[in-house]
Amino acid sequence: MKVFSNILPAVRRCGLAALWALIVGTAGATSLGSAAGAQDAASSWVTYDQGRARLISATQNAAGNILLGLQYQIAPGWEVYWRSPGDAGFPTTIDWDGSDNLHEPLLRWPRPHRFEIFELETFGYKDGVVLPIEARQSRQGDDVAIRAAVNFLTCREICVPHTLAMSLDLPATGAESTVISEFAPLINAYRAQIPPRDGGGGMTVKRAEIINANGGQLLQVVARSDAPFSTPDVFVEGPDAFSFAKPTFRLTENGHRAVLQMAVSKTALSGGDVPDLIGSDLTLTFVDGERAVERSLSTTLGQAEATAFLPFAAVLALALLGGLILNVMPCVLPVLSIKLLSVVSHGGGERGPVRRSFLASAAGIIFAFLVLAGILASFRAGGAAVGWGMQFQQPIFIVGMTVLITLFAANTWGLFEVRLPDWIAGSAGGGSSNPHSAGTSFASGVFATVLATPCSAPFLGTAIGFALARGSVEIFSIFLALGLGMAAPFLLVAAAPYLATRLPRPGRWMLVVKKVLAIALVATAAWLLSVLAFQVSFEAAYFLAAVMAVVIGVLFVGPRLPERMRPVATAVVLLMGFASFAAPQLGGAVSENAAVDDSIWRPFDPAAIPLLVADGKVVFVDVTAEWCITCQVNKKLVLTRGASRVLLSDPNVVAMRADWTNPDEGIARYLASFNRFGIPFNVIYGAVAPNGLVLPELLKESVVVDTFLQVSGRNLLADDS
Amino acid sequence: MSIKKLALPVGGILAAAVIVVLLVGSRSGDDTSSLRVEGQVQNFLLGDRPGPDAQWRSGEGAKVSLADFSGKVVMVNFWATWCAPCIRELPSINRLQAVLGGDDFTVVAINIDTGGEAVAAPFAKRLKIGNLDLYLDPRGATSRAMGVNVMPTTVVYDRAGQEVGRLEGGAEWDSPEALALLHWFINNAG
Repeated sequence: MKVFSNILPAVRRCGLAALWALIVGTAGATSLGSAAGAQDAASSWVTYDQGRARLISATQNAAGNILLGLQYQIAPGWEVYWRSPGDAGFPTTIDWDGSDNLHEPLLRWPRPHRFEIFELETFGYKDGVVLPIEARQSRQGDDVAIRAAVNFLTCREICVPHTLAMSLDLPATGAESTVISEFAPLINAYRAQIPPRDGGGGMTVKRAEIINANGGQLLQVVARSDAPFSTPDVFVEGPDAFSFAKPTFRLTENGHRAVLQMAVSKTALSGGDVPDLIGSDLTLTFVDGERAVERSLSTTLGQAEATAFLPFAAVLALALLGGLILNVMPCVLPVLSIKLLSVVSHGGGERGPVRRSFLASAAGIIFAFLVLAGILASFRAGGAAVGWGMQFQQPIFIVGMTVLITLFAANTWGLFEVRLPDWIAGSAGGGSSNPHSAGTSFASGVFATVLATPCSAPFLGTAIGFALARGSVEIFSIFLALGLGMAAPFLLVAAAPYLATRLPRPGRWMLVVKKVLAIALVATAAWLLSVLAFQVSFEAAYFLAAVMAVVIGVLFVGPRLPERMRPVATAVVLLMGFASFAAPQLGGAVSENAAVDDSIWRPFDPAAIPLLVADGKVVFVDVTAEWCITCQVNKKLVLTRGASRVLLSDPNVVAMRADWTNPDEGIARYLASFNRFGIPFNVIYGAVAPNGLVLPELLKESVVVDTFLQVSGRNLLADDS
Repeated sequence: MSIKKLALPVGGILAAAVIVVLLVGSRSGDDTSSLRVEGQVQNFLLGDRPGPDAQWRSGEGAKVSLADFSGKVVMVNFWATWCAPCIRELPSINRLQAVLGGDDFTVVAINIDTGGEAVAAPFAKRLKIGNLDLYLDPRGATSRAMGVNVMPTTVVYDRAGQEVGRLEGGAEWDSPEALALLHWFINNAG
């Protein structure tokens, strides 16, 4: 009686009659049965070695609907089974032979509990349970005779099958009134534990996905809840050939979203042909504490929600690694130039200043990352869609970067050694003419970071996605780790300064290196101009290019002018600097943007994707931007050549391109729905993966082809051949 | 007569009686002083009753009874796919058959699933218990005849088909205690 003694007091007695009238739906008067007559509404207890059981009725007589309960009181440690017993066991079945006037009795199942017996997962009940039974009279007005042969299994260290005979008679109502029995509250308390289908208790099972991992398969179930989850569990009923291990769960979105993963194994019962689990129908009974919901749905091919299952420390490690890898990503060519320069200029220097200078650069990098974190966190708090490298969507930022890089290139070339510090090296360093000054080094660190942002690196998306899906603490911690990762080479030199001081002393060779690097910087500026051309207009880009040419020209002739003319040159440079910011105003209608590319791409239309997939198409989505260098690399090295190109041109494939060169709330939300906040982002949808499979940031042909085959159920190429 | 005079004949008679009892006891094979029921098989209940005439089926459909194993000590194990403790102990029984199975001893593992061979055969294959022949009793006739109420139950019959004892519940049947118990029946019973 332990189980329901907790429930009874919670149910207000006066409300029961009304509730019961609703459930049974009797038209006649309803009265509460007296305790004296209660014996009529239950069979006698049938005792077996491990407990006892009886039939109970919610009413003492019968008028149309009949609500019964099979009540078990179970000795400690013994289990009786749910409708699906798990790895071993069998459920209660009732043979109603010999009953009279009992129509279609239906055994119902309150939410199960999970028990482990001999390392096997079983689902059932212990201590006590009432299985509600719903039925109707065949003939209203006649008495009901209930004869039940109850067959069930109970197990502990041993299993004992039982068949118990029970009988119960319910007289027909005389004066059209149903008499509620004392068992009605008990039966209804267990009836309330029957999981409602599709979204009861504020919980919804969103999807069930099969993940192919390490040669085996995982089932991943995603659910949402109005109230936060505490300890979600899921009971899976599916093809006999499979069994599902106990799930592990992770909560995201402040506990309102749960991701459960469990290993899938082929059960001992499976014979020869094992069906494909992808696309098979499962019934999921999702339980969280006292809440439960049931949903039937088909599985799709999915991907592990890696970030959901990574501990925070692991994400920090990924962020460190991602930051480190940023140093060698393709877009970091100018960044690398600056670093090389700084190393070269330390050639033959003393250890103390070298150490200080590298520490300052590292501090600059970390400082810049923390500023980025602050900006992202505040944008995010304001509800705005945020992303990595988003500042490159602002033309004014592109112009500013172009001006800075042009000046940097001129400086590196040697056009103005003296005047630069006022401009860029900043005042922080004191000895402004010294390129080793702390201020200059710090600024170069900041500069390197800002330039690195149009690049994405492996692990970067994962780490940033994790951070932005959580709170400000995580954002700052992870960006700090990214900064530390990117600054790691600088910190290494700071720890071991001889790495820099061993370099040959600056000399003629250094002038050559400097000129090479200056050309690289000019190339970077040219790239920024091309971004501006796409973003605003070719006029804007030409204008800015012209302004920059004037600046370089003035800087070139400046030192050759007479002394009194030099302030004029400085003024011209400053004027041009300001003028350059007028470039974004020269915007024309940039409609040829989309048409520039191949004809195989059609514009991004997320709403059309489910329809296309339902139509048997494979949909490839490429979210890209002119400023995203990793995207350009993917395009050049993978998407426009070889097997990828062949697949994308296939008539069964729809290729969509989303251009994020300019800010676009829709694209930002689309990315966020995948827990991604940066690009490149590529995803392929297909019949078996209607939710899409996300590709890694750096594409590889083999991965693209493999994913194509997976999402299409492997028949894509067969159609062609 | 004095008590001293009586001591010799009485003592002699007593000594003779003890010798006779010891001789008779060892000849009849009922010397259970070396029988140890302990450890994994501590719940093994020694019994002495005739084996039933019940028939069950082999995996190939042939009728089988205890008489078919006459001359061997037979360990009949009842199992089912729904019985977790049975699934737990079956691998040890499979190993036992590899160690002890032969002219003197065999395991007969009888599945009692109502689904019969269709359910039991793939399960057995998956459980990798290939040393054990598949026997089926889907209607429960044999398990009832052998007085099986709980699962798993394991009954040991001597070479003449006489039950010598049974264990209700699971055990590690290739444990030293279980092997010692079964060796004792092979060497002493029947």
